[in-house]
Amino acid sequence: MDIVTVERKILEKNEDIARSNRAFFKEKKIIVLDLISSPGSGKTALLEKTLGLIRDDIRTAVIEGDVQTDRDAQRIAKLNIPVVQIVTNGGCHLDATLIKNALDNLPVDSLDLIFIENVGNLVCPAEFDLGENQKIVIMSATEGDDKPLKYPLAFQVASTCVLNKIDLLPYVDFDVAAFRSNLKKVNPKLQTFDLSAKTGEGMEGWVEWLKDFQNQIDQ
Amino acid sequence: MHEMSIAQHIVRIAEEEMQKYPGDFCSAIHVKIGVLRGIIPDTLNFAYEAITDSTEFGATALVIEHVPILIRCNDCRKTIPINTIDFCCPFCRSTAISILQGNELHVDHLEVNHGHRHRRTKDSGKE
Repeated sequence: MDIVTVERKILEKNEDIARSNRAFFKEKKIIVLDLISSPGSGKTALLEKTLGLIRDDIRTAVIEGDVQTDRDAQRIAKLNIPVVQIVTNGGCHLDATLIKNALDNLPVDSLDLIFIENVGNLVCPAEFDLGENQKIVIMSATEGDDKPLKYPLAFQVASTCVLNKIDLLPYVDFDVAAFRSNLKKVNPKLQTFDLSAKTGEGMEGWVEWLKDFQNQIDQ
Repeated sequence: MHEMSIAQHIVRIAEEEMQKYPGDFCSAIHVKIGVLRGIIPDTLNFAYEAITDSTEFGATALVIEHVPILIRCNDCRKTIPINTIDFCCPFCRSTAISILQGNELHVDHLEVNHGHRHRRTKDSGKE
């Protein structure tokens, strides 16, 4: 019996395709943001609110990932925003190939920004590079403030964390200070936004940041 | 359940590597998976067996080394194995830590045999 040394990354193929996606986005000057979270954190609601606020300034499209149905894509399509729905049929995450194929159905020559709404799941989407500029992890005030410790990878691969549903803070046990401290432990470099997609509170900072991001790419 | 995708990628790599050894048989695939990856070894094995049954890897064991987390405290300079992540030094509580080990996700090596295949058993892959 021979031992054959391999030492190859298990996700090397996904990483190759993610790299080529990233090069494509750079060439087209498109910012790509991958939103990851548990189900029910309000990703789609955040997108709806955000699109309403940036649509005159930033040409945006959305790639929706869900296990079943195109309900999220229908919500985005109502806003007259280009949208592609990826139905994973049981798959718990999006991968770089799915994104590459979705691009065929988007007007990539007239876009500044693509939001990818990943499948609601804090475990698996963290593992797969899609070629995005950033992963953004969305939390909501109805979840546990210890989630960064329980699902560290999601918070480590993200560069930005949005805390949504802050309008509910008076009614729930979510401890914002404990949450901040947990975030800092897991990823001290994470930038954060606190907002409510429902009431609009805190949306200005988030939208300003998106506009600045786009200006940097344009220069 | 991204274990299914992970299993597919492992098999793809093993298939590619085995093309270099025509006529030989891979008796075990050894992978290293860091604890921080959130992959459950039993689930990965289940997924692997499900997708390789009745294939050329149907008798090939998947041997998973679940690599524990090792951190170094940048303040007190200790190197410490930890089980659960508190992301701070258990001695001085500093959060200035570096993760030395626990993020692995790769195929390490294959056991390649000349000659006949054997059925997959609980002992396959053990020395």
